[in-house]
Amino acid sequence: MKKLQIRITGLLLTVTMLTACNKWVDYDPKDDFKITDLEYFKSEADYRSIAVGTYAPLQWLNQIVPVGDIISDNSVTGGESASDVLSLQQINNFTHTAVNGTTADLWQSCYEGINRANYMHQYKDKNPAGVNISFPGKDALYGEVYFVRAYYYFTLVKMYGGVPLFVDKRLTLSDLGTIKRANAADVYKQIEADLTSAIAVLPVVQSEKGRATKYAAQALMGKVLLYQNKFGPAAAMLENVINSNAHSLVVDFNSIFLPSGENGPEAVFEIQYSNGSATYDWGHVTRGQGNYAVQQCGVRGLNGSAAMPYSPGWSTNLPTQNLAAAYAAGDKRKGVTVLDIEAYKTANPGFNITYQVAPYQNTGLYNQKYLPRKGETSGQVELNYSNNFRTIRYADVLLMAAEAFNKSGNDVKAQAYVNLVRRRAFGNNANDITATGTALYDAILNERRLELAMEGERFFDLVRTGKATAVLGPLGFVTGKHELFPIPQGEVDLAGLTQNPGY
Amino acid sequence: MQYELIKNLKISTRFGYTKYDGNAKTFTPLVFFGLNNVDNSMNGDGTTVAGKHNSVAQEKANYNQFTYELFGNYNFKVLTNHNFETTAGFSMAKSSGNTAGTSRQDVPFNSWAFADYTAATGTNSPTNLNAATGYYYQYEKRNASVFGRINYDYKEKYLVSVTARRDGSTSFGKNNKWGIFPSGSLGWVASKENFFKSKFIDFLKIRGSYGSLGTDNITPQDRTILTDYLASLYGSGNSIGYTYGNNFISGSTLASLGNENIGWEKQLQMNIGFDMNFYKNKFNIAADYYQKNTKGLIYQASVPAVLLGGLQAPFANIGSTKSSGVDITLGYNSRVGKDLKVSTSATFTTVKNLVTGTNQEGTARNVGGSYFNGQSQTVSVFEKGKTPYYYYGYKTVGLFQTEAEIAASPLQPGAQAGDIKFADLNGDGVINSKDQTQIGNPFPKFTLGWNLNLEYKNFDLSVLTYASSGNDVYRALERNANYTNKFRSVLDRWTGPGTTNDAHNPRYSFTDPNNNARVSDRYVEDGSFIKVRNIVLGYNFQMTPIKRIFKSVRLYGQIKNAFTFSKYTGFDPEISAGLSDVGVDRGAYPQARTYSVGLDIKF
Repeated sequence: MKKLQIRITGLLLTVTMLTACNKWVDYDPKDDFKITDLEYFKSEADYRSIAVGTYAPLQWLNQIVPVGDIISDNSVTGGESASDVLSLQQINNFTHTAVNGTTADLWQSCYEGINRANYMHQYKDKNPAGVNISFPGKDALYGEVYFVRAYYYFTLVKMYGGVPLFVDKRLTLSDLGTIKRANAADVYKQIEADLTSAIAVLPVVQSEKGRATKYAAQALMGKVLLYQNKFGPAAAMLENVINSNAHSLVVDFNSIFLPSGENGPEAVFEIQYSNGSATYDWGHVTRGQGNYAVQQCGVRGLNGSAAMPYSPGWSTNLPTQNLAAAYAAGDKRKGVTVLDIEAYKTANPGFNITYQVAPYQNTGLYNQKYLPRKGETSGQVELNYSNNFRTIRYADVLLMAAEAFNKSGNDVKAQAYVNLVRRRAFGNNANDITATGTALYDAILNERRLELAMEGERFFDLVRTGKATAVLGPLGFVTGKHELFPIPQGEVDLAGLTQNPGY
Repeated sequence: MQYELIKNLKISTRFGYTKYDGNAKTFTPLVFFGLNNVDNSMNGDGTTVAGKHNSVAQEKANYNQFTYELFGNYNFKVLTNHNFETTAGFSMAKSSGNTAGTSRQDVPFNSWAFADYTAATGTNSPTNLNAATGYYYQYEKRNASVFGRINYDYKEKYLVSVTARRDGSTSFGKNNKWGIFPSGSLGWVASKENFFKSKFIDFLKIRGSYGSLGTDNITPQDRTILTDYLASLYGSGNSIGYTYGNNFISGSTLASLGNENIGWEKQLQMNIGFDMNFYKNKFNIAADYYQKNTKGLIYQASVPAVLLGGLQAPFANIGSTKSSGVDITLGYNSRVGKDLKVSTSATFTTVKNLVTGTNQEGTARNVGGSYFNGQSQTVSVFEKGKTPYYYYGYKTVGLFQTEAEIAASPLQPGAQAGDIKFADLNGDGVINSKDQTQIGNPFPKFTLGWNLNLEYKNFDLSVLTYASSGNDVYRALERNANYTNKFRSVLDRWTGPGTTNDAHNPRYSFTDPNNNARVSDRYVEDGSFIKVRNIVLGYNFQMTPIKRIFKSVRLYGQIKNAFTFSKYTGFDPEISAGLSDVGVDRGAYPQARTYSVGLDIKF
């Protein structure tokens, strides 16, 4: 009897244990305090938070600004030596290949931004749990998301031409086989569609600076139309911004680039940087809240009295003498754009300036618009400069409008807009442009260079206007090849994308 | 605990528990390294460099592991010579741990004596978020398995063993938590047969086995949302925050894709072979043919950024591999004359590795072996039908001697005289990424191990030698930069037409418009080597006075990593690395040669 009892107890114990085994290896993400996406997208706050995440990769696009000038006649890479910042050196020399850290990082940043925006789009009507979450301002919030998505696709299409195009959802591994390059026209079509959606719902003013407004979307739309040579629609679109009188040219050109000038009346859209959440991450220098491109511009070993306003940096992205020579006498933009360090030192003996001459490709000139200034950084000083990129200034809007009107036959308006910009630059109307037709067109393009130098526009302007061969040919530009950057090698290898011609 | 329930049926239960507690403290003082050193945190006069701080970091970690097993054995005989041993049971295991730490800047007096969180004075400000920090993390993994085994033998002549286990783990997705792992073996001791009457062969066993086991060394793969800005920035660089005006907002985004289908990585191994002793048991030989199949290799696939942006692919069972070969061990044990005892064995192993499958219709490629030589590069590729992580790149065909030669060759953008000429493998007249191919195999064709032990009177000598043949090494340690030291081979570089046509020695160019530094066979070398890993020479003291006090006294001298014979031009052809980096030499510190002298005393 006792033996039987033991057997039954043993058997029961075994069966209980075996069922327990199954439960024993169950796992719930909450065991590790992880939030899954089924738990998310449940409130307005969640939606707003994930929309912030779609803006973040705008900051990562940091190097597109130096690249746009370094690959043009505006600036050279500089740095410590010919092998310092090699990826930028090769871009400077038109020897860049499909293996290039800088362009690969820009590509990745755009696609993370697009995937984040798509992820937001995917759950617009129903959240992952299948519930509709509605709240006031939801449409306007999605307007911001479509604006940034348009910005990412525009960055891609101007760098690479036709790129893989997808808008419905964040991609997963199973989509790998479906990826291929769309043609550039289709990418532009999608950008226009996104901006049209954004324009319809975005407010004209945002309570938080740096969020996309209706005018930011219209200005970007104007630029996108201009890049497709759709001059009539571009002129009309840009006039929306001009006629709203929401923006104006500030009187003092230099003040635009000071901390106090950020998000000012001339700012149509600025990519925001700050020193408020200092990063120490040298592994991801373009991924924090600080503007890495500012440190790159600085004068090496710069030292001086407390009153001297600048901080040292790495002497990369050095303006060329060619750029300095392009400014006419009396053009106030010259001194704001290029700092002649030796002249500055001589003019300000009280600052007791000492510095190291740029060791490679010295031009004697520095990018004053984004030169590191004292008090603008924090923590790991190299990584946390707070300078916003003045991504779309009202001056840019006026010059784009001038170009669009000139090309669509209205030289009166074209002259009026370009001369608004020139009058601010010279402080008088004695330097107004009176030319018409093609001469006016060339004058407007030249004005774009002078006004927007070191703001990352130059190369893309030269390419889209067909002037790249004439201007950049002597610097190594190969027609039919260098209009576009190479698709990063990893994308060619892993996604089977076709490479751009010549690479 | 063991309990004999009925005759020959034993129930056993085992409980094991391991606990580890760790405490660590790290002090990073302000340091003056020398004039103008960029790493200085202290000036020469003892003042602090602006923006720099000393800091103390403290961490407590604990780790717990317990295992519980319950199983029964039942042994019985059928007739007299059929012996059965059976076992059945289950086991459960849990390993968990957590770590908490803090760090704080501004330790008083820059001194170890005050290096503690309580004494440091750092306080966070908007411009310095690292003055006082804390972190905590935890993990837990649970396993369970049910198993059974039957061993059978007939007069210790025929041997059969069959085992099956079913294992579960919290690591895997809900669809694939459990895996079944059978194994079994068969043996026949032929020399015990009555008809076996060889004088020459003393022992002969023919055997075969099949085994399988699983690996679950990953954390669960969930589809998670990240809301912590600092966590998004550090590590992945996949930042989620943005600053509107001066208003910083930590946003959120999808941080990982998850994989509900991930399951056990299985290793299946099959052996067929024999063991034989012959010539008065002086010689023995063991020979095997083996085949190892890994199915459902757990790895992170390489995915293009266009697909996942800044996210990493989730861990998945991405492929399967097969290794096969023969393994022969030959041994000799004997006494030569009166005083010399010789014992030696040599093992010869051949291996052939092949990727037999990857995910996604077998077309996926995984890349590995990443390194930086001015640009980030990857050299190794994992794809179906090839050696795992073979080297993939361009083939070189010498150097361009003249501009005329460049003009007459397939179009190679950026090339100048003195640059490397790459092979146009697809013959389309252009050198581009389509001309890449296999340029090396990191695995050896065979390896050889040789162990020699000699004893002569009171002396003993043992030598351990290892050889690897046919393994390629990729020299990923060269960097094409100014102001860095160069290898001596730079002296042989191309300096004008006719100076050299060796693709290892192109002209020196820092800007490298031809991209001579691209992944190519320029960097692939035969890494075959012979290493004498260990030499020990000992002497046993046998004098009577010593033997009275001690059981034994032995003095020995040892050389570890004694000699390396190799044509490899880098530091060390034997590179320890994970599968995806196999044979990629990033300039790791070579193994040291160690001399030691020791005294072994036994009481």
